[in-house]
Amino acid sequence: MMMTSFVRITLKSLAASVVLFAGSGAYAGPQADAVVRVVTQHAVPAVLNFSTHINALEDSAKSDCTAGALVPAYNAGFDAWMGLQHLNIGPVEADARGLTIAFWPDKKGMIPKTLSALIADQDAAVSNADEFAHVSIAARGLFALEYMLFDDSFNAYDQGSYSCELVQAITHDLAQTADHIAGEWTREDGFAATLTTAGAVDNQRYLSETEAAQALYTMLLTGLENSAEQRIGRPLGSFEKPRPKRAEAYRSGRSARNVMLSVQAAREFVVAMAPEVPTHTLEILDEVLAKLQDLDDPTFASVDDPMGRLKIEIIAQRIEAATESIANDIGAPLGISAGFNASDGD
Amino acid sequence: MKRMMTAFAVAALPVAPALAGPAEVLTTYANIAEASYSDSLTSAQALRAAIDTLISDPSDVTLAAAKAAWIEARVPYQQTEVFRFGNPIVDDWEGKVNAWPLDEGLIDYVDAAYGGATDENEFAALNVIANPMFTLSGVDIDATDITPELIGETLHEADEVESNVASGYHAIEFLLWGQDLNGTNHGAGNRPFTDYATGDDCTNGNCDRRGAYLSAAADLLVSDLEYMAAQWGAEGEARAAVTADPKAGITAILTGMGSLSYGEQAGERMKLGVMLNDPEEEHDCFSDNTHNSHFYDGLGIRNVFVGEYVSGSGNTVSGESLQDLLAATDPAVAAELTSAIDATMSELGQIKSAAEAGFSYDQMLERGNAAGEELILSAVDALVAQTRSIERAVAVLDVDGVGIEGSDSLDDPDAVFE
Repeated sequence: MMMTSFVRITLKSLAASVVLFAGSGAYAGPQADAVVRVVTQHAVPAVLNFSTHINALEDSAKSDCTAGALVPAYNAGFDAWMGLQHLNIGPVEADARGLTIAFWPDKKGMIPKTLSALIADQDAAVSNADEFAHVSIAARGLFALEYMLFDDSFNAYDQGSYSCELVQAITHDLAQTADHIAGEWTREDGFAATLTTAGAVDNQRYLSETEAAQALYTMLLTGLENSAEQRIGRPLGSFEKPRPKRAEAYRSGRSARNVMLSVQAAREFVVAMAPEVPTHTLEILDEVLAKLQDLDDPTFASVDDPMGRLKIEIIAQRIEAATESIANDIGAPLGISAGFNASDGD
Repeated sequence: MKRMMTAFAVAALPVAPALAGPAEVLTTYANIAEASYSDSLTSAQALRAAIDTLISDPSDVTLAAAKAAWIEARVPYQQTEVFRFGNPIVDDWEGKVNAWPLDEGLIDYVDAAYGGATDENEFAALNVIANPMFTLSGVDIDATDITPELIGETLHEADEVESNVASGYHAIEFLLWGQDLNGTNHGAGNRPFTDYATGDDCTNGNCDRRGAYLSAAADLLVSDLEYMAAQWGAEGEARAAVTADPKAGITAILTGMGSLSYGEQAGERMKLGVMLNDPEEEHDCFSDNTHNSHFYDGLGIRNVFVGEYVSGSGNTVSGESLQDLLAATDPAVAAELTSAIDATMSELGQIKSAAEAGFSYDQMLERGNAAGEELILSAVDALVAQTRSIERAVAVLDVDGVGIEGSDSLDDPDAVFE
């Protein structure tokens, strides 16, 4: 019975593909302009900046892999990722690259488990980049590296040790991923072109400039939502049960910094995308940045304290308010609303 | 009700009745929900009966029969997952019956390699079956009698930890199959029937409490499904919610289709597992039934789109569909979405057929297993492409606001039903 229905499905699919692109329109207008500005002023610089800093991280690990030596390059690389991570679309989404660069939250403690297993087995994958690219994402990317550099049960390794090779393998893998992303964004027929030629007859990804504008706009809102609900929401937990150990990147003391950088990235995005100066939105985002500065709590450890907790909650609320303001300042004038996002599951 | 073939048919044959409209589409949607939850209930009752037999007469045969009943029960239930996300009544309830992944050490004995309490969950290895008395978030708990109330109200999501899954299909699955200790090799959990034996035949201790837990969990699943089937009945609140306001109802359909396709199935369930090479990231990890749970999730999306559900009894529920409505509005987008959903079903069908022919889902997750990765990521890509087509459907049906933030449907019902 199932076979029969597949035959029917296939015939219908053929018929469908004939009419697929009948509706493509010409490319022009404020949505298209907004897309071009976001691509050229925000996205492409973020992609190139990430590639630069992650390659520097790889170089640093080659010359001295030890934890103490690598921390500055690690932080610079993570900072650069925060400028790009919200653009989980096209080359970042492809092959789950975004998830590979930043596997978080690690709800089941897979990262220490997987790293420990590699180290205990002296797994040879570290000496072969192609093989390492198939290793679990729990042992790759910035969060695996955070364990290696900051966690006391991993970071006391020497030059020439297996852990040193593992760190070099992680940074090499990250650099390769960053290069793939940069290449796929910027080459002649790359993702930048895919976005900016939305609606052209041969553009099969975005059938209209509205679709391209909506795709980018969804990333802007999702990035802010993730900061409010995940980066802040996870450590907040509930009043009865705060969860400071669930803060993102608390081992490296980057939890609040990551929120700040994600809000700064959103601000840059807003300025590039807005058809006119979005005063209200910028006011809220600047207020969030000032409040984060005042909080002076790098790991959100003060979720345990009623007063600290309230301050952190307010920051999350103001980020939510910014998303509403963006709907008025950008969404409505451009005639777009957000699409589905990768956080829509539970 | 006669289903229109396409909008072109309307144009070519002006004497044909015009497409009815959103109200009829929503009636079909609610009818499919009612039928698939009713089938889920019937098959859960059969599961409960098989579990009763296992406990009263434990043997390889009665354990196998209970496992078979569980596998059957998953078929209609997975087809209901498309009603999540868009319907707050379903969202608020769903975690009781299908929460996943779970720290199964909360419930029963586990292998030493499982470890103990974790940063995330200090009760990951509580083992209620072996421990009738314990302290949970500072409260002394007497679990001498294992009842549906104890499981549902005290143990489930204990200490506000999501992975403390004490109830539902996956808790029952664990109690029937046990842990799958084969890693990414072929093979499911292999719990001996003697885990339910009496007296000296009992293996792994506390067989009476294990039986009591399994029995109470089955009772709870049945009563939870009774509740949800009723919500979609003639007087049910879930039905009323989608039929009261056609625009909100159509929004609910599309929100469910898109959120299940993208964030939930493509992301959380499929991509994450293959990227972690973690066999515990299989949706049905104890039974190795994941290929089916993915397939029937996909089929549920197709059901609500084409307005047709085929019941385990052989009956078909069908009527005016979202596909019809979309075809009348924009035939190109309707054709594209139809094609995208069919492409997804083909990809999910390949995973299912490969698994049933011997290449099990956990093998597909193995590090460096290119064929498995290809099978899974192709289905992920098809689900992502399908989501784009759903977004186009949202645009042409003029129901803006869908998925502004998927969890709106979880946190703020008013945002979805405004």
